[in-house]
Amino acid sequence: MSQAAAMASARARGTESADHAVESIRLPLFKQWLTELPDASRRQVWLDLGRLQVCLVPHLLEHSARLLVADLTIGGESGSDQRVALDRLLPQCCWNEPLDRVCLWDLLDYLEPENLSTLSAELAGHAGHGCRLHALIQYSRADMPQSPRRLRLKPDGMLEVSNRSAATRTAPRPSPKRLEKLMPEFAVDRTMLLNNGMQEFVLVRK
Amino acid sequence: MFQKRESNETEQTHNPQASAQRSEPARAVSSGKVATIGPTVRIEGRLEAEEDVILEGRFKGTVDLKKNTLTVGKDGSLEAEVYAATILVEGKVDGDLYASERLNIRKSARVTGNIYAPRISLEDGARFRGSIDMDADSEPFRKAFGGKSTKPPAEISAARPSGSQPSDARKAETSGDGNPTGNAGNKQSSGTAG
Repeated sequence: MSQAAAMASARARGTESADHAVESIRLPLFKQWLTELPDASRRQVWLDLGRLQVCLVPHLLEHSARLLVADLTIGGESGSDQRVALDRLLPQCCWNEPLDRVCLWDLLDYLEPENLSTLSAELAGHAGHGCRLHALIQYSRADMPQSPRRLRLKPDGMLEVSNRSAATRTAPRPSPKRLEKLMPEFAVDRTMLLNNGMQEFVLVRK
Repeated sequence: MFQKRESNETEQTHNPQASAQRSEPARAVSSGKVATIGPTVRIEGRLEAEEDVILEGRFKGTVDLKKNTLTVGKDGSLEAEVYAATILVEGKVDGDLYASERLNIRKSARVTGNIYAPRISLEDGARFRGSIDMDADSEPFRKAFGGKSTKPPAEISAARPSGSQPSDARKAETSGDGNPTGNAGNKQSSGTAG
């Protein structure tokens, strides 16, 4: 389907989203993560399940943190395809040090529930004491883009969010309780509603 | 197989903005001699040299240029462990990269593997999957180069999120830039921001 046709279809369904607009949002909880990095104690290990965020690298490495980048691409695949992607990717990660922080970005919105639980169990198995996860979940709107948005952390600390297409799908919008049920190894620690309708979640290893 | 040429090109800058403005292919040259592996060349095995190497073709194996520079050009494809003083990647790499001085990943690069270097330059748009380690005291780095790097401490040329310096960040926290709520413990809390 062409982009124009997809947009027209979305409009007809009344599900047109923010379309292709690029918006910048603040991530207060994520920013707080950065400020909480210890100065020179034990080195931290971060796992970024999304694409390489170039602007994140200098700060982490200045603190001698180790950064693992998974570049996990999950879109509109079936649950079994997602599972294949997870099974292929996760063993490749360097698990020789316990994880302190995990950046999930908007991955939780796109993973099928059973795969979410699989990912949670895998992360929990490699999580260090007090390991925290950060996620962005569509909350205010009932729909979300069909495919994950392009998320780019900018030098000013804002997150640039751009849609790849106008097509939408129903957003799972899990409550904190539902999320904890799907990810039983973690507890919701903090949430923050952002002005674009997404919600920041910080989960902590139980 | 190898095309040798004398190079007058200058060393790469660490400034990604400056480097992004250049249109010509990047070349990191640390010595006068450069060997180029051309785009139609495919090699498997171990590559050792006392001069810089530019890879435009395909190489599979191990690269040992501990005193020199390896450049993987845009059309270059490398499936190897690499040990070099400086590594510059514009093309595709599948393997671990050890640079005793610095490593530069350009926006056209596609890298899968772990990278170890005391100084790293990354350009937005590069695809990377693996780990980034700039600790010159780390075990892999020591194994690769037999001791701590003689270069200065970690230095990165990519831009950092503003306010992420510890001191600046603490100021930002109290200046109302976002208003996170909640406790340090497990107690759940919520708030709004924009």
